[in-house]
Amino acid sequence: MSKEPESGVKLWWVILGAVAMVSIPPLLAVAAKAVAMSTDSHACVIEIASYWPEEQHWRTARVYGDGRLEVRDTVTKNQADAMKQFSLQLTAEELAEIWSEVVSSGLFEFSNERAASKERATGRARPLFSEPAPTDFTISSIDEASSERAERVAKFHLTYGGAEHLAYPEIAEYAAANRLSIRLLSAKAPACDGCAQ
Amino acid sequence: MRVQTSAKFLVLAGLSLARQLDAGVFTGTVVCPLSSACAPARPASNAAVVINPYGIVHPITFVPAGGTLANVKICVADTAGSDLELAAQWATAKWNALEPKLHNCAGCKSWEDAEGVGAVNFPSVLLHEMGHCVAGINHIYLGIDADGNGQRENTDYTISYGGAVIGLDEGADLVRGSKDDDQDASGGTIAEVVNWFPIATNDPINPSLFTVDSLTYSRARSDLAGSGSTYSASSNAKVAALLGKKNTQSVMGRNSRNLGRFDLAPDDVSSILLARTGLDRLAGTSDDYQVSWELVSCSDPHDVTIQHGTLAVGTAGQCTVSVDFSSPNPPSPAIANSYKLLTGAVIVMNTAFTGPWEYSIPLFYGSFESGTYDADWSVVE
Repeated sequence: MSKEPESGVKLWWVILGAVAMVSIPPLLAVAAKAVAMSTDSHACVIEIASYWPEEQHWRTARVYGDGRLEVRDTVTKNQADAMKQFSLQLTAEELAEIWSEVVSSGLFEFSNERAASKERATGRARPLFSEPAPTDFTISSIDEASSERAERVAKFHLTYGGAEHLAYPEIAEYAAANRLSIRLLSAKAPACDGCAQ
Repeated sequence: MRVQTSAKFLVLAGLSLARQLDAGVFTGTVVCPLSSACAPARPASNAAVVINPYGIVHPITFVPAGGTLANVKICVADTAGSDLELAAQWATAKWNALEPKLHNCAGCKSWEDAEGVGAVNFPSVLLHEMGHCVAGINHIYLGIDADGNGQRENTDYTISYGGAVIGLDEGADLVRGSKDDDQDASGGTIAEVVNWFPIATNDPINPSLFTVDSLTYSRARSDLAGSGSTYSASSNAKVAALLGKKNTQSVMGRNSRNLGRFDLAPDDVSSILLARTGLDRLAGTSDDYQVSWELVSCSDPHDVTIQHGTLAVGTAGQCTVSVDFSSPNPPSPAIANSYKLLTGAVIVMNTAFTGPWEYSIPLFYGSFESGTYDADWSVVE
């Protein structure tokens, strides 16, 4: 039997692509096909780290359960090496839209093996990509199938040059990965970011 | 735009015991799908592919018999007179002219120079991407997993194959990519030379005064000793400065801010000339070839498409192209040494690039016309 989330905790639910923000009635937490996102302000629900070949650094975007988006530039992937960082607040609608796409596109359950299988099914050989921008995605959700309320972490690595969606337009996950990474990694610092310091 | 002061950006030697399995070949890299079974190993950047470091890649219209090949047809998916079309016209003319020029770039940086602020020159990036997709030339620099996290960072060292991070040594001149480098680890790991070098000089910066073919250019270590070298030198800006030709760097070097490439470097041209010796790799024989690039309408048959598109935000441009592994040297990609690009290549200039882009064609540079080639130039807007 599932253990329900705390009554009254708001979770984002995505059911077959439909999005709704609800106060969770306890027994609805077992809904099939649903992927719940933690709303905990300390829970990183989406992390995307991408190497910027033109600038020789990594940029990492983290979305937290309360809609906070943190963007950090680092020399290596070690987040302690931050050269620049800022944060901003996504609206509830923006957060819902992002989570919806993560789930409905199949990105939440992405696997490199499955993607490779889809590539083979096209009958087209993987082309060469000249300027690879390796990108890591880590996506977390509430695992409602667990007996404990534990987070299930969907973690995958795209050996993604940022162009696979062009070579394989029929693979929805690549297109979603491209859209999501651009959306989060190109976020601009608020105009007054850091000016109070 | 001003040239930025150089600074070391990464300190690599000795950081990790991780093996470097990058690869590449100046004048054509062969990176083939695993299913093609081309040996000998997989690059750290992509476990799904393996690499044959011995191949030279020929252009799309290549035929083994040589001669004057059919033009490689390139279309620009944008309106007439657009920045994309103007840049494509300019870059096509440069590659067709195939004229090596010293001091070919203003603000060119090698990979371990710190990035500055400012715009990225759009035509200069397109010139680089056309080097990949139309000419079949790879980067000049070594990408390596410096921090052992499974991802590569680019360096100033000469592109090589199969060496170890801990083996990298910049030699007495303290310039990475120069001829006194070493890339072999003491434990016996050998970094294979995959960058063709002129046997007599191992100088990729100054134009060769001799015919370019496999008698004058080599990848063999045994051919390094004659020039007093320990490793194949790279055509990067620091090596150029060391050799007295500041502001010179291969077009296949780094795309950086405040960069204006206005011509091909000698090493770009020698790479093309080497490929054009055909399958026998000897100049002056019947299989030598010539080929031109031609801009055509996208409604006509074409081999390469240049277009705008969205890529990873840190990437300025991207060439996506497939290689024919069964032709012209079947049947085994593992032992073949010549391949060709396939039609259907796509160059995307990234509209999501945080840049910002700067679109002017790089033409004139401060100090250039007065002949002070070694000054720090600035682009005259």
